[in-house]
Formats: sequence, structure tokens, C-alpha cells
Amino acid sequence: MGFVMKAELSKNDEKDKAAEQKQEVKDKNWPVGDYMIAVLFIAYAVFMFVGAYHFPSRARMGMLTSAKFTPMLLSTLVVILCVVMVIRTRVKFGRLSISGWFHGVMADERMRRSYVLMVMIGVYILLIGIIPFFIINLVFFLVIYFYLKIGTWKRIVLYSVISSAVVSYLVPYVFNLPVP
Amino acid sequence: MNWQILTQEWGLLPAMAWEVMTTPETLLGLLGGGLLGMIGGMLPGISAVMAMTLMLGFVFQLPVDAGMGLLVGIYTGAIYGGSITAVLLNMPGTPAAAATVLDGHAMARNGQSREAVGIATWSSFFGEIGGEIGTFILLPIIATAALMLGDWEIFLVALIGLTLAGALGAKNPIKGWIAAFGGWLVALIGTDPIWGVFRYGYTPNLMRGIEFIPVLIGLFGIAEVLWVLRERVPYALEGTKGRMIAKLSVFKGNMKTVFRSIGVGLGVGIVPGVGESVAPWLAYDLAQRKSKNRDQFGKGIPEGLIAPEVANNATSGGALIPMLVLGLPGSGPTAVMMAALFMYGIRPGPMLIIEYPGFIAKFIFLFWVSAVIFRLVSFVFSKYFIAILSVRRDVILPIAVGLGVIGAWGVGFNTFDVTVMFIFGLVGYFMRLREFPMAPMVLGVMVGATADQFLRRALMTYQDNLLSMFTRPLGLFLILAFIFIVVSQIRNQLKDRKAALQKLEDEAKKKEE
Repeated sequence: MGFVMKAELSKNDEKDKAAEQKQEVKDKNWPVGDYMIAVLFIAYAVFMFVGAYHFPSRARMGMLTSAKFTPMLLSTLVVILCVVMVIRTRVKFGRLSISGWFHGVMADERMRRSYVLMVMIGVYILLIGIIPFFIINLVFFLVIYFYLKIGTWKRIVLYSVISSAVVSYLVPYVFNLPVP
Repeated sequence: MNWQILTQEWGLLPAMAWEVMTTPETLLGLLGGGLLGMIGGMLPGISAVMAMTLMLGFVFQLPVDAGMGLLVGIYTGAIYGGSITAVLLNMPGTPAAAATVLDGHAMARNGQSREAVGIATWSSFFGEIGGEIGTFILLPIIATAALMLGDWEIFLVALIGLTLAGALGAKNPIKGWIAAFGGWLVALIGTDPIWGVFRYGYTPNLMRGIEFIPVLIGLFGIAEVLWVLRERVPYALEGTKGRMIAKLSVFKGNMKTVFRSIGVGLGVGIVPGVGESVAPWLAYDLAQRKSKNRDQFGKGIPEGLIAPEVANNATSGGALIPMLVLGLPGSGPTAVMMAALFMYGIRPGPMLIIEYPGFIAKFIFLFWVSAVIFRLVSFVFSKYFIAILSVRRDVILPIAVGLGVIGAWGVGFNTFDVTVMFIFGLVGYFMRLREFPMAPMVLGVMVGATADQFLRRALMTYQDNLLSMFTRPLGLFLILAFIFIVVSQIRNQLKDRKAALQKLEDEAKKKEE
């Protein structure tokens, strides 16, 4: 009996250690997120720069007062700042593993929950204008309150109806706002 | 400028005050407007401008004084309401409250929600009263100063605001500046107002451009919903039962901050298009620089809440004078007020003082009365709005998504703005994961188009002699201020880094021992 308990304890210890190691790998590689955001911002800045390059210049001063001047200047600034940020991250944290970061992100429960929420809000917004506003609100509130486990079914339904009424009727009525 | 005509308003103040106080419609207009504005400010997306615009139809059914009272009430109420959601929900209801989030919400998270709401209330009261007193006394000087501002100076003020917001909103200023300039780039989408060229106009909606309200709701509202609700057990605000705690003793050691912030609000408020958004950041920066508790800023220190709150309310006065005396609206709400005055047949501008003697005095007195009535009302109702905004996050935040949708929809009555809100919500969430600040991006979207326009107009004006642009006295002062801010922020960073390295070394030594 004692032997079985010891074996179980050591198994639990091993699990804890593995979880700790995973957490360490995740924490260590978490700054890879800076690289990812820098890549996205650089891509955005390059897109804006290339787009601006094709704007016509009508001014006598050419480039300086044309519509393309500010977007090109700002895109360049954003790229420079992103490069500085990447270098600083590299110097501060040393070599980082992108795969370690990716596994950490996938294993993180909070990240998974945020993806589910993004999908819920995304679908809700996608259906606005297609399904009547009160109904889409009611469905959204029912689903999200159920996912967030705010209480019993009765409470979920009650809160959903009240929230939908506030969003669909009360606020638009007070401010004389047309709804989608 | 005829100074005698300008100062006549000082003498007419008592008579105008008596007229306002003895007209029940005007007082009711102020009260009703204040309540509507406060509710609007608390709803994500209903900014002061939007609430005022929506009420314009109703305004014209009232006499001039009552109608203007209603608009003044909505304006001041919305700015105050926006600060309350910034404190309790971490979502600034109006752009002016973006800097309030830094210490206001931190105080609420530390279990001081009622104190934070109380400080915000008193600060906005001081800001409004002080700003309007300053405006009234300095009326001729402010009007003259407003005329001295050229395109180049307005651009520099916007640049300073963006740089400051970028540096103050984040631990790492580089991330703040990436956000600020990224936001500014977004603002350039749409039609170029100078040459009429479509910039990134790939679809009809993009030709119109990206409005800042959906961006504000997305970055602060949707991102906050994702951030908080990703936890199985979201945080709860403690100590939220009862009315606000409005202790004046908090201000005893902070009166210098109050007066300084009033000065900043007044001075920067006159800068058209950018003043209202930039002033709170400037005031916050100055308060931090002058404070003995510099390290505590951003962690929930009353000083960090007082400075931006006083400044954002004091800007109303600064923005008002160019509108009334020169016919140049300094901000969105003053533009709506100007439109309302036109519709009543009153023409703001240099002739206003001659054609309607006492009108400016009455207008400013409306702000004072609104400040007093409104804070009394907010004290009575604070018990309820603190209770409503402090309910469980998993119940209230989904409602904020729904209200955000209405706010974004209300901008242009199309689903494009709602989609923009959602996209910026995702952008905000991922930026927040890596500690990028949201406020500089919002500020970039807000002032970006104006800053771009003024920069290129300045370049056109001085195209034959660009050097003379850099030798204008006020411009030179602003350039020096800009350089000082950038250099001091980089120096602070290096200092912090050195201190952190020293701490690590000391810890390692201790471990070895």
C-alpha cells in the first residue's frame, strides 16, 4: 500500500516538474512575441510605404508637400523603431526559441480562452446587419454567458434578456440612435 | 485688438449670472444635459461630440440659453463620465480620459475605487472652474495667443503630445512610439485634404478614412474584454459599496499639481484640433517630473489621477475662447457648439462681443453652474454608477461589447466601422500581450490627420525659406521642448536599465556570499 502511494507521489512530482519545465521554457521564450509584433508592424509599414509611393505628387515642392510625404516618413520611422526593439530584445534576453514560444502559446489556457472569445465576438460582429439586432444580441449573450459560466441556466437567460434589451432598445432610445 | 471691448465682458458677468440663475429652463437644460452627457460618457463609443450631435435636433426646440445650457451640460458630463469608466472599467469613455486610465484604474484595482471616483470628481470640478476662471480673466491674452499659432506650431504641439503619450504609456518608450506612429499612419487613410488625393482608397469605405471612435472602442474596449475574460476567474473590484469618497484632504499636498494642470489645459486647449487630447498627457508628464513619488506613477497614485483629470476639464475653457472670439473651434465639441450658435442666428467671431454684449460672460457662467450642479448630482448618483460599473467583470464586459457595437455603428451607420472596431480589438489584445500601450495609438489616430495637414501646410508656407520655419520664437521653444522630452526619456530608460543591472549584480553577489 505504502509502495503504491510512494509511486503515485513520485508520479505527481514528475508531472509537476514537467509542468514547471514547460512553464520555464514558455517564460524564457515569451519575449519572442516582441519579434512577432515587430514583424507585423514592419509588414504594415512596408505595405503603407509601397502604397504611398504610388500617390501622385502635385506640389511644386514635389515630395515634401505631397500626399505621400507623411506616410513614407512615418513608415520609415516605424521600421527603424521596430528594428531597434528587436535588437534590444535580442541583447536583453539572448537567443530565444521560436518553437518553444509557439508551444508555450498553444499550451497556455488563457490564450486558448482568448481565441474562443475572439471567435465568439467575431461571429457576432459578422452577423450584425444580417440577423435582427435584438436576436443576434440575445444569442451572443446566451453563448458568452454560458461559456463564462456566470451561473445557473435561469440566471444566464435572465441576464441575457436584460442585456439584450439594454443594448438593443434602451440605449438607442435614450440617445435617439438607429441600430444595425 | 480693442481691449476695452474685450474686457467689457468682465463688467457684465454679474448681470448675466443673475439672468442664468433666474431662468429655470436654462438650469433644467444644464441638469438634463449633464445627466445625458454622464450616461453617454460612460457608454463606450458615445463621445462628447457624438452625444452633443445626437441632441442637436432637440436643442433647437429650446430657447438659446437653455439650448446652450443643454450642450454645455452634455459636454462636461460626457468628459466626466468618460473618466469614470476609465477608472472603474479601464475603458476611457471619451478620448480625453485616455491618460486617466494609468493611475485611475490602478487605484481601483488596489481596492480604492470610491476614492478614485471621488478624486476624479473633484479634479474635474477644479479643472472646469479653474479653466473657465482663467479663460475669463485671460480672455484678451488667450485670444491674442491663439492668433500667434501657425501651422508649424500646431504640428509641433501634436508631435510633442504623441511623443509624450508614447513615452509615458509604456515601460519601454520605443514600444509606445511604435504604437503612436502606427496610429498616425492609420489616420492618413482616406482623402488627403490638401490635394484631394485618395490615400489607400482601395474601397469606398477606405476612401472615407478610419474614424477614431471605432479604434478607441476596439483598442480599449474589445481588447480589455479579451484580456480580462481570458482568466477563469476575472479580477473583481473591492471596496465598491457606497458613494464616492470625496476627501478634499487628498488635494492638500497636490494644489501645485492642480494649478499647473489648469495652466496646461488652458494653454494647450487653444491649439485647434489637438489641444484637448494632448493636454492630459502633458499635465501627467509635468506632474511626474515634479513629484517626489515619481516611481509610484502608474501604480495608483492620486497625483497621477489629479493631473490628467484637471487638465482635460480645463481644456474646455482654452478651446472655447478661439471659438467665441475668433470663430475658430478648438475641438470637436466646440465645433458642435459653434454650429448650434449659427443655427440660433448667433455668429461667433470678432463681432460677437459687439453684436451680443455679455454673451461670452453668460456662456462661461453656464460652465461654472454646470460644474457645481453636476458634481452635486454625481455625488448623489455615485452610489449607483459605482455599483453598476463594479459588477462582476464576466457579466458587465460582454455588455460593453454590445454597447461598443452601437457606438461604432453610430459613427457612420455602417458595418465597416464595427469591423474596424473588432480588428483594432485584436490588434490591441496582441499589443497588450507584449506591453505595448494603447493610448498613444488612439492619440495617433485622433491627431494624425490634423498633424499631417498642418505639417505640409507649414512646408508650403515656408517653401522658399525652410530655415525661417525653425526660427519662429514659439516654434523654436516647442522644438527645444520636443528635444528635451525625447532626450530625457532616453536618459530615464538608460538610468532604469543601469539600476536594474546593478540590482541583479547585487542579488547575485548576495547569493554567492
